Amino acid sequence: MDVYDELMQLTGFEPGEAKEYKSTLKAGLQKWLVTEDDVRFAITERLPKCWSTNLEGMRKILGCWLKEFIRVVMPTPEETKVCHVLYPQPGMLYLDPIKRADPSIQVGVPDCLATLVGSAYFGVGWKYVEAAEREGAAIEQITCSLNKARYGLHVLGILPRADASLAFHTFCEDAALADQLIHEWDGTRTWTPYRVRDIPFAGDPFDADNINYFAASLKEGHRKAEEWLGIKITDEHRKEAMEILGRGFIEIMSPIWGHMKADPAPLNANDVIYATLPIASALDTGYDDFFKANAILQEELMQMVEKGEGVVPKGTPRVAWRGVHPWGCPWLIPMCHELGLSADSPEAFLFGEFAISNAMDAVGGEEDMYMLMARLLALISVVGTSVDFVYQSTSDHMKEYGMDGLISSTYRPCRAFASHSLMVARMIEQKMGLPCITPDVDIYIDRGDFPKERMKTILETFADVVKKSKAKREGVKQ
Amino acid sequence: METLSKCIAERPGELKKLKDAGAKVVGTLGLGYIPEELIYACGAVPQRLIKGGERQAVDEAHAYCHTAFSTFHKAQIGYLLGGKEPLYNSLDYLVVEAGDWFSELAGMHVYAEKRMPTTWLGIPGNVDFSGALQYFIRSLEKLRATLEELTGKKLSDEKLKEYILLYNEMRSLLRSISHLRKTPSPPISGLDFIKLNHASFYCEPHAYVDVLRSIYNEMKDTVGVYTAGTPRIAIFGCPIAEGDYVLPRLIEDAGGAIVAEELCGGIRHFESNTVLNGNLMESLAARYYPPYPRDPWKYPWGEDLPALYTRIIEDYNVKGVIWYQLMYMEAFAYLGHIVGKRLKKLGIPMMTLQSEYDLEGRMEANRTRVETFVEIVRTSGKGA
Repeated sequence: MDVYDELMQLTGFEPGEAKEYKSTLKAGLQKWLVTEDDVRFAITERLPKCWSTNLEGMRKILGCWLKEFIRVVMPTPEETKVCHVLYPQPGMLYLDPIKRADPSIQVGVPDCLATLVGSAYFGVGWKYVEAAEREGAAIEQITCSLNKARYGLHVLGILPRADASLAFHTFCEDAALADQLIHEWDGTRTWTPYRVRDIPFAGDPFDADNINYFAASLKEGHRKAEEWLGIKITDEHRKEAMEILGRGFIEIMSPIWGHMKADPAPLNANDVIYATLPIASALDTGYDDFFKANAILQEELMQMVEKGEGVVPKGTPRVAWRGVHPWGCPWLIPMCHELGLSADSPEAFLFGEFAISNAMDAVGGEEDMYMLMARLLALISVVGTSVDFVYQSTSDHMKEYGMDGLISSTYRPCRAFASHSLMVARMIEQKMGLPCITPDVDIYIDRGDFPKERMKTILETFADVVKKSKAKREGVKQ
Repeated sequence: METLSKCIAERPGELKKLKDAGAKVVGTLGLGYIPEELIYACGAVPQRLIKGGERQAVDEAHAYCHTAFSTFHKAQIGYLLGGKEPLYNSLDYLVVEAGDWFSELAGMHVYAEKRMPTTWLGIPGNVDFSGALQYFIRSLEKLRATLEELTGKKLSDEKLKEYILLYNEMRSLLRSISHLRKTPSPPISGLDFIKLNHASFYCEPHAYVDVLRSIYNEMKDTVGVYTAGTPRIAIFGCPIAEGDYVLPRLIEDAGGAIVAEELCGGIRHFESNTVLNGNLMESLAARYYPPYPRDPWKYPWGEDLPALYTRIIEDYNVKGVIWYQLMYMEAFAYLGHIVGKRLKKLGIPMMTLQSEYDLEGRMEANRTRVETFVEIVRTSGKGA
């Protein structure tokens, strides 16, 4: 049994499947610049320590991601055209109708895979980022590593030239900017569905003109895809994609959030992200395996909750993790556990229970896919909604889960994250009186510029403060 | 020029007088999409937030925002929240462009900390989309309603037309003066032209146009201030703020002639006037929101945006370019990379100089770099 066999075992492949898949896996990993040593690192260090690989469902979910990682660089022989979107945007909802319109189109969210798998499993994300930095994504300007990785994949020739790249601007200016570099590099055709961020400062976050424009712009993106890919997207295709979204919300997100309210929580934050993200991302390999893996996982979670088992001892202080969970540094989660903190319930952005639940409530009944997307994104984006609204969903989440503090991660290269995180942390501290920190971490690619020792010192101090604050509050209650 | 310098220096006092007389002062933050004509015509006084170059303002901002945030916008946050800058303390209201995330986030920081009355001007970034101009027109209409409410005055077509024509004249004069720099020996230094342009954000427009007119009349037939063979340099890139004059000084001290600049929102754009077509708001929108990218946050760039720069090279006979890169304004770094490639094809040397309003702290090193660059342009036979 070599490292590739062990990798497949650890990521839930069935024996027969593994045998058949091994040569594809090896070729795909090689294309991604993942060496045998990197695979060894994944199977000995990264995967078993950062995810609940003791759970079959979790192993299979990790396997779904791995297969998608390989697929994006090793299209099936039938796949002759390529359409990319990028994270963070609800790729599933946007790409699925395209795939349904013509299954021979490969759809993908390559930046997400470069970071979620390339960086998080194998620690190789820096290779893609450095390639981008050599070709104009200036290192000293400290820009988004997610988008740099995406551009770097084109520079290195890891990705095929896309026939259409539709990078939303909604959340992220760097996405649209990186698309300009990608177009310059290999002529990839790009278009930017755009949401103007003239968001009401308070009150109803839906401004009709704003939402209508964004929805029209999303529709135009699909029209471009039709033109460039030679397809016709029908109402039926859109309806089917919306059904998957609804199914994902009902069958995956809601139950997982429910289980995560238990003390102790049965999954760690890394698990939660990987188990829910495909609904926001997109899978060219399809969603069947992913739903099956989740069904297994939820059986396991139910049993764990019944038995009172979890990833930390019962009563461990809980802190919320606001912003994108830093999958670029998955080691942060076991580090929190070692320090006696549970930071396992991320909130806000695409994964937050309150952000998404509130959004789903608000858009319930919307039948037009573009309007649905526009309204959803108006509520769950980083800079797409008001600071007061973000504060509200963060504080609601913290109250509901009985959180003892907040880690509001800033991320230096993402101006939006960094800004909102600082604003919200200050508001939580002032209004809720709970301890907050705003550590600077690379949420996408760990290239050593946020050293573990420094993070440990920060988290150690924070853990002490949280424990004292919790004891004080409980003392007052008694 | 002395009159204009005085006008800038005395602006805070001037604003105070206007406020005492009941006027509302409206600060504008962005890249030049907010029509001052509209603000004046609604009875308020616009004040473009364009000050910069001071490290202290940047440091003040670090109390509120992340360090890796656009230098220019950190300075605006520092001035707005620091409370030490009389000009910024005069504001009653803030209009922020929602069209680039730095302006948006700076606006949010100020709102979150100070709850300063603020409104957005929504600017779509996908300029080639059919609904984009309509959205911008609606944004202007919303701004108009906000301003009317703020001042309690109804906008009249007459008033708006008066200011549109005045600003057209202002831009025409700036354009004419700038075109004088196309001659082998320009009659105005680059630094003076940048200052002249900046003054347009500080002076009462009627008075400013009078001064511009006299400057133009004085200059149009005069012998230039540069000798033949002086290296003709353009400054491209990030906004040069009012007060951020280290780079132009370094270039001119090194013997270079700054004959053109494309500094995004750092200068008033004067290349086109408002064409009156019946509906004044639509006319204004068409002028302020052209159907091609005017800054790096408008997509797709395609060849349109790089061409904005290469056209200047041709029009002004530019022989070398210094790309002014403020720290953490990544959009310009990306654009600079692409423009650099185009210039290479044209055989035009380009040097990038980065600043976080700290050039003075590294003055000798920067002086050497600029002097070397100017010398390269001169000795490579690229002088005029």
